[in-house]
Amino acid sequence: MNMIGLAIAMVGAAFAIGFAGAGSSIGIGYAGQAANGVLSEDPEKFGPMLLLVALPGTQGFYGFLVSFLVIMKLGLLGANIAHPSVAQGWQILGACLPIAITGFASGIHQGKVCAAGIGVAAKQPVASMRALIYAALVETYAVLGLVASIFLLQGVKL
Amino acid sequence: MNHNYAYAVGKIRALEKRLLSKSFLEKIAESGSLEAITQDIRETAYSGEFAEERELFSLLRNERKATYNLIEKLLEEPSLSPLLRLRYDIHNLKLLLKKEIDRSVSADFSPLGAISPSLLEKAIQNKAFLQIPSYFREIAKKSIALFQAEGIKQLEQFLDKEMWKLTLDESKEIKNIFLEEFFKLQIDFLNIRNFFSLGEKENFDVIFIVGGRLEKKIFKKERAAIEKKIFFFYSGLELDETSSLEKSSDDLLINYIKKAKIYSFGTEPLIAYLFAKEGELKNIKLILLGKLNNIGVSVIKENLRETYV
Repeated sequence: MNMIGLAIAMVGAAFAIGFAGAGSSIGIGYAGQAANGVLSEDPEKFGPMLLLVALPGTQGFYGFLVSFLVIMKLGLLGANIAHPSVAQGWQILGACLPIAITGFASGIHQGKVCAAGIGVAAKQPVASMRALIYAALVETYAVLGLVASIFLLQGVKL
Repeated sequence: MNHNYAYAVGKIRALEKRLLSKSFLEKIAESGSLEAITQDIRETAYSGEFAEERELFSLLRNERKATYNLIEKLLEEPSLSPLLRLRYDIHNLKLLLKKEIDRSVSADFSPLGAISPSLLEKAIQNKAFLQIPSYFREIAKKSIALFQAEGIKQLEQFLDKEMWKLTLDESKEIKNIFLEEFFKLQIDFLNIRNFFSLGEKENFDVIFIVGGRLEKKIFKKERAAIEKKIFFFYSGLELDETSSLEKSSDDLLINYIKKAKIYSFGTEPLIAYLFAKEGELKNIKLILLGKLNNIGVSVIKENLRETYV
């Protein structure tokens, strides 16, 4: 029974959720602090701020989705746990890297763009949607990372 | 860039929305009476309870104090706030030493200094300098010695130079380029102002403040060459009269701090807000004093400084 392959694959799943989640939490941290600063003076701005604060959180969900796909692939939630070879374990870990890396980097940078957007929305609430569009552009690369990870995982045959 | 200032910058962006625009200030300058101005101002961020113009002046003082306190609370670097308050400490020190020779000097101490005037007074009277912060200790000691040896004029020149030296050194120390450049602009404008209002018996070399972008040797050339050099650095300056020079230099300072609008993090928006508020209070005071002294609307409007928003 090959436990090393399974362990490597599980590390991949942990990377996907760990790094993407860390990127999201840092990003939300920036945006949340900026939004709280605005709300401390203008509590009625909660609505326009909410989407800008929430947006950097998506990377964490993408990471969780890839991690869940790996868990399902390995059958970790059922009785029949798969035991991939070492090579297959590395393939799964490699498949997790796109979302881990893009999720981490884009989560942080999206948080910064959202914090800047919150500054814009504080002065001109009508411009908050435009600020959201700029922030959403950063999202593109997390989505590409997610799609790449899903395709790569599909390619791993156990 | 310091990402710790996200909350502070968010707060400042919300507060910036309440800053008064130039068009609003021009509108209140056009108001016929002080009562009308009071009414207009009451509808803005200055909505505290006040009825007479005297109370309005005290409201402006309180607003300045509240702004300094707010920025101090938001700044995470402990050395920055005393740096921003240093000119008020210097003002208080000058006043204290002046009072030493002339008891009739009004004790109009500024409450904005980092060191409380009573503490400063006690330290000077008892020569107990350990009670005051270390960055101010040497200045206070030297000031007393110089004041006793050479008098108030030399003391004022010394304190002005020391203040700018300390502010520049500190802003370099904390690597705050935005603040350093802002101080350099102020030094240059002060040197230009001093040069063009120089009395016959005064020596520019003595009052020249080191640290700005304009070096002392520039001021040793012919007037046309000096003006050319000044315009090379500061094309918007008007050198014809003292009042227009003061107004145009204030406008350039406000235009400089507008750079902080592009920062989403860091201390720059906080510092810019502080000076934007100072500029706003100066403009309101200018309108009120103009009205109290029956100055024409067009003159008041001409003298209004550029605003941050």
